[in-house]
Amino acid sequence: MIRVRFTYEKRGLLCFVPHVELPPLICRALRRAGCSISRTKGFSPKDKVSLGPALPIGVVGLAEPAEVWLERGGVPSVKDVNEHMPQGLKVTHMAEVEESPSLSKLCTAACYRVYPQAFGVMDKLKAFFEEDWTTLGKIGDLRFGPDYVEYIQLDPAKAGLSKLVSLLKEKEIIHGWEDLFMVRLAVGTLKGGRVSPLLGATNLNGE
Amino acid sequence: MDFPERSDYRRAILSKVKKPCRYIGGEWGTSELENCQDPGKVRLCFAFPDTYEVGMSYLGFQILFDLARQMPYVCVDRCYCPWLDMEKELRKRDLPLTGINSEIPLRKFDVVGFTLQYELTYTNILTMLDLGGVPLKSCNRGKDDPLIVAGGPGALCPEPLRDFFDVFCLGDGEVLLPEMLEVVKEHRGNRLAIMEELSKREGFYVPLLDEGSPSTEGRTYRKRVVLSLDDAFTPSSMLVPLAGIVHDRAAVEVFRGCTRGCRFCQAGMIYRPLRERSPESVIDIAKKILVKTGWEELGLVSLASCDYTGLNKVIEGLTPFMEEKNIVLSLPSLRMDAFSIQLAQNLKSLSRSSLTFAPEAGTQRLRDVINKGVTEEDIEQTFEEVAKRGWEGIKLYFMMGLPTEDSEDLEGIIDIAKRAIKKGRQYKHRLRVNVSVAGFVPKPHTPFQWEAQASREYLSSTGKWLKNQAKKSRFNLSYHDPDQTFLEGVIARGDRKLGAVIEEAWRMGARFDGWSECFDLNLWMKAFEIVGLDPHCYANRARDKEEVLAWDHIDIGISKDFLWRERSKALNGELTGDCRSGKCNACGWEMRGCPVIGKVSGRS
Repeated sequence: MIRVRFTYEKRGLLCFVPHVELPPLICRALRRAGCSISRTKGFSPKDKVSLGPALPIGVVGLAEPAEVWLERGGVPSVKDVNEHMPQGLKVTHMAEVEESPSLSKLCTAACYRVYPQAFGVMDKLKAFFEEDWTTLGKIGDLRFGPDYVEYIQLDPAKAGLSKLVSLLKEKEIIHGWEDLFMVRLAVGTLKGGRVSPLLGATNLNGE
Repeated sequence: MDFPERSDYRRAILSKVKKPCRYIGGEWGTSELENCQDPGKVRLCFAFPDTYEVGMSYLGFQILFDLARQMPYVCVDRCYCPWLDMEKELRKRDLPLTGINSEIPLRKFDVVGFTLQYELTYTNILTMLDLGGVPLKSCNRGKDDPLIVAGGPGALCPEPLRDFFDVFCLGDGEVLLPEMLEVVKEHRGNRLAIMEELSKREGFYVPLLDEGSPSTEGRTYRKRVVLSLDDAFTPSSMLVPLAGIVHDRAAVEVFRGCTRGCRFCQAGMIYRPLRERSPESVIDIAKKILVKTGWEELGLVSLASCDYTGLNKVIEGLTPFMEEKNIVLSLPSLRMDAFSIQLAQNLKSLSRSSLTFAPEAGTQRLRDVINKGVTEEDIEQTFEEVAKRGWEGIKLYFMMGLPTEDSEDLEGIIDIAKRAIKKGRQYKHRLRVNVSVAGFVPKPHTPFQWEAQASREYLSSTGKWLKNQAKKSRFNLSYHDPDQTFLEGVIARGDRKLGAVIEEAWRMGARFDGWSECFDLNLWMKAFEIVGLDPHCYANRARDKEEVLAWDHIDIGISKDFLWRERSKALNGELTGDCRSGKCNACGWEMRGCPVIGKVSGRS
């Protein structure tokens, strides 16, 4: 049995597939690519796969981490796997890992970019981040683009975009998720003030 | 960094509805499809009048979709009923309901094909037509409107929906669909010519061109079937959903029809004759589908898969392939006997927590009335095996309101559940017992089609009594909403007058009536009142033998004489054997090339 770690993009309308639905989606693609996936033990065996911190529905992800345990053979090629992925889901890196902490322990930071979709919200969003950003928990490297806000969230499994949306709603800055377009640029470890995705996927944050 | 997603107008809608993945399409297997933009092709949309997760679980559409996409002059898409929140968003933004992948509005298709699986989805059909920009009634559609067709079990008792459909397809889609599409191609753009041509052919009922009156026997419309599944179209792939659906697995139909002869079961009558697929074909189809889809589970499906004569051969043939790929096999319907439980144990099925069985009635007497063919010994032996082999739970399905039912039969339901618990204790573990009780609905084309359905009041008080008894005995029991059972019974045996009620109820807001959180019987009762019909006359009235029934013009191959004989035997508590075991029961198919008859000797 080998443990394979990979990073993937979640784009387009596939962003509306819930995080919990991704394991079967990924495993079916791997199976189509010829892989045999190990199964968990117990009364209800399932494909042995593990994902990084949950990405909320509707949010684009560019370097999401995951791991899968394969019964035999080597690491499949990224190209082979991508030929069997549904549109919107794309593997970017893939490698075997041996002794390594779990993804939940490794993923200590995430970099988000938030675009307001409604007119006049950008200024309010800026004001919120300038004045109230501490309410979001541990935040670092806050920066403003022409039409977006970008920031690093520490401990992304515990605090994420749901909290941001709920705070913005509370302050009547937005009506709900539909007023924002959000991207998780990377999730991984914090290195030199930047979030470094696992497996050395291109560091997309902080362009 | 560029994010084209930002300008996708659908995001704003999808962000506002529950379960947005119901609407995004993009299933694995659709990418190879053409985009339905070729004006030279016949555009077909399969429409399922319930949510995506229910519709995507329907194997019939998976088979027909695969068939249609292989026809060079056809492009095909699918459509599901949007949930209430999505309907609201579409109406607010004045957006049409479209094919899920092509995004073409329903009104722009040449053919929209619904399947009628359940009476309480009928108002959803009107929602879909209306949102798709199609006039609700056949008589109001013009030359640019699509042909609205229906298949499935509901098409065999079509009168409640006759106003809304242009054509009902009676029987197996593998024979009817290619023929219908050929006619559509031939007369494209001329609805009337298409309808006229189809009305001349066997297996198609075109209500607008039917001159029969509701009270007299006129022309009959005969169901068409494929007599050999191996010679018919065989699917080689399935669409794989992006998010969980009800039956999330690859599936191969091992046989169609059933000869067990349960007298309450409409499927057991209307899908006759029994046709088995050869084990070689099952193995071949399964391997192809599993390789193409990547599913982790394969279901061998039919009305009673344990009865499949090629089961061992198929399991033997598939095991090395499935073990290599770590795929598991499942049998959705288990018989109540030791063989089935041993089979389940050996199948490496996904979950080891619970097994499901359907004794249907609480006493041997009543099980004989319904010809269930489950004995007390079977039940005892099943519980013994379940407990001995260490299963944690058992789910038991029963019905209430069956013909001739009395208090002893209801006590029998409680007794059976208690026996299961006791058996668990004998093996020193707590067997979790869940009982589900459905109100019996007499269905057309069954031996009980003449019977009165039990009243709402009876079902309600019986359900409460059973629940109370279960509570005392410490097992879980749930029962179906008697109001929904009542309406199902009304529509199931409805006539052409019911169309007005369905439309009225829909206009008053009836949606997703099969979902308890949406269902409102009061609204329906108002609709009946406005139209001036008494629903009890449909559900709770016994019919005479001589009465012309609203579905008598649909010939499913089973004779009315056979059904009446079965009814008489039911009332006498007499059993009818499975014709596969030797004796033909002369159900009607013996005159029409029944594939079983060559394999049996003698006649009853």
